[in-house]
Amino acid sequence: MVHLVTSDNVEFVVDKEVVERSVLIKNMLEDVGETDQSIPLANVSSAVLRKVIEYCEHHRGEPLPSADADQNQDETRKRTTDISEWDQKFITVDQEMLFEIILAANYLDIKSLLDVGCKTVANMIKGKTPDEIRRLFNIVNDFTPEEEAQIKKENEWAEDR
Amino acid sequence: MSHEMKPNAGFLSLPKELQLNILSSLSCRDILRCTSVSKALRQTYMSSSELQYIVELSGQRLLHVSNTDSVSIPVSKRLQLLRDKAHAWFKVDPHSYETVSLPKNMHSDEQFVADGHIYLWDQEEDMAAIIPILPKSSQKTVKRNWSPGTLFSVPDSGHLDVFMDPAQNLIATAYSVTDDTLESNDETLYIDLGVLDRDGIHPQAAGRTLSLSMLPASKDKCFVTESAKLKGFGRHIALRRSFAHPFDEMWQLHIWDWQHSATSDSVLSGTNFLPGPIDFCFLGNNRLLVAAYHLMLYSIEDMSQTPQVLACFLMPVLSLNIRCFLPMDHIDSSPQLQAQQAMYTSDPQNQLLCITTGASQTLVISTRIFFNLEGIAAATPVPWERWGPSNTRIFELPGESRVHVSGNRVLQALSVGTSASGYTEYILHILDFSPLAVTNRRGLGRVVKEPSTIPEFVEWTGRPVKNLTTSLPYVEVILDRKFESELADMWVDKDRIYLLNTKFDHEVVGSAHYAIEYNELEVTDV
Repeated sequence: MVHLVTSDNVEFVVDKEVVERSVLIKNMLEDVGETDQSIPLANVSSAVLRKVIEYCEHHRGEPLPSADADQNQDETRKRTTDISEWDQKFITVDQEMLFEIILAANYLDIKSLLDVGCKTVANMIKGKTPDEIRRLFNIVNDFTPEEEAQIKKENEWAEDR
Repeated sequence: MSHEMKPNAGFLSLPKELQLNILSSLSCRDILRCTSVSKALRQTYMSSSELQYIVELSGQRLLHVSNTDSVSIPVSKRLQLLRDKAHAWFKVDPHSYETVSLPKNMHSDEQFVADGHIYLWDQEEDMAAIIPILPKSSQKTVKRNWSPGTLFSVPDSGHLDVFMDPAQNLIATAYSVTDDTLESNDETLYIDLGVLDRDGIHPQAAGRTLSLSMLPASKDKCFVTESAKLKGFGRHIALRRSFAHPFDEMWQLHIWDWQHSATSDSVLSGTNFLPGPIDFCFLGNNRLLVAAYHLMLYSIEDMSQTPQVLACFLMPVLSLNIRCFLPMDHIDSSPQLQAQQAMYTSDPQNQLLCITTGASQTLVISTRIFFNLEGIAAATPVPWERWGPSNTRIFELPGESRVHVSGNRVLQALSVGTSASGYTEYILHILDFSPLAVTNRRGLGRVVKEPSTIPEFVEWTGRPVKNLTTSLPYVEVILDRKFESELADMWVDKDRIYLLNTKFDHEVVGSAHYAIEYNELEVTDV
């Protein structure tokens, strides 16, 4: 069992097999060896870690993507935005949690979870107009009307499908 | 409490690499929409070669090809190559070309250029040749010469057509054998499948010879093949037959999956009341377009059944001698014959189809209409007004002019008169229909966005044709060199322009004056 302590000082005790889906922790454990000392995760809150562990539990035992994964596969992976049913349900969270999960997955180096998160955000953007994207992510339009018109004109060709 | 203290995690608060990870899985349109959301997002795009590469490919209507070569080149370099290529197309120097001499004894009826080779077929002499054209150092070349009487396995047969597919190392020969011993005068057709670069049966072929189903009505009628055309793409190959009198209005199109079965019941046939045979072309792996009276689009995905009609597009004019050509890039090319590992390929769903008619009209059609069939019912023909004007550009070219297409590029050779030495004079028009070319032509050519109208004329049927207005936008450059030779043929591919010129040598023997005709191929890099 591995002890993890979150940024808000909550301790989690997790199966080694589960927690090793995080390449960061896996490498740490390899470096340190067997230890009862808890690992501090200063960048991850308990709410987020709970979700991350839920994900890792579900995918326990699945093969980890190798570090030198074929780049070809990498390209095709990125072009598809399909997400499995369980992952889809799992990632149905509010936007703040979604971005927190992405940041945590990135920090903990859990590639498959990072993918699910990024694909989910990509799916949210898909088909939306700039204005809808602004509203979606609460982004302020800092272009002047002239700049905006100019960009719109430049991008016109891509709209005509 | 602590919850409110935390900075809000939002899209823009993600590290750049994660923003890029997300954006790079989006389509070109969605990426560009993001660039007009805010300055920060625009900056993310402007500083990312990867995102710009996705947009550049889409704007040039190309698809990325994943192979070991293309991933070893950094994306910024690939982006630069792609932009240089687009630029180079308009910067063709017509005065800078290399000449390839072709064998003088070869008078081919049919020739084409593909993958850095010229393929010639002399029907009468039963000869064929494959000649490499200025091969690049990395290129595997093929040189073959079929001396008279060796191309067809049955020498005394009627030689109908030859199809050479360098991408698959395939040569297919179609011939007919007539059994004169019987009164019936029955002919049997065969298509042999061979290897292009050596002798033997093609290793992927389902059999040495493809066999044809008989026409349903052929029991008591005598069908004699008058002309035939063989074309293929990928696993499909098709033979179009036209028949001799009194069945000259009939046509038959037989399609095989040559890698899986030597027989096929996939046959289309019909009656064509227009003079000249019908034509057809493959649109990628699963679609077939038949240009007859109208454009009929078929699905050939399931070869166990007759091709299913997907749509019928009505033509604005009834064309005599209709010809359609659509060179398709092979993605799964056999490495042994490939000129170089391609980094990208034309998007089959977004390239150009060229249809020439017996009259002077040339239709350049975007293939997107054959893939976006939303709201189109197979049983209801689509009127020209609905599909044509915005997806097509019709050119009226003087007689003797020639056209060729590659991806989104068009090369036109316009005849402009006759030179003092008696040759037809040509000027070259170089066109690009890709949206990026039209958007930022970089000051190179004339952008044509406004609709053009073919003046009212009377069709050969006597029907007046009015207001043939089309508006597919393009960019055009006119080359300033006049070509003074008989232009026998012309091709364009991703890298080069090929002009096949017929020239004459004059020889005087005693009092007799001979003109010896020979061909030369002019090759210009683009």
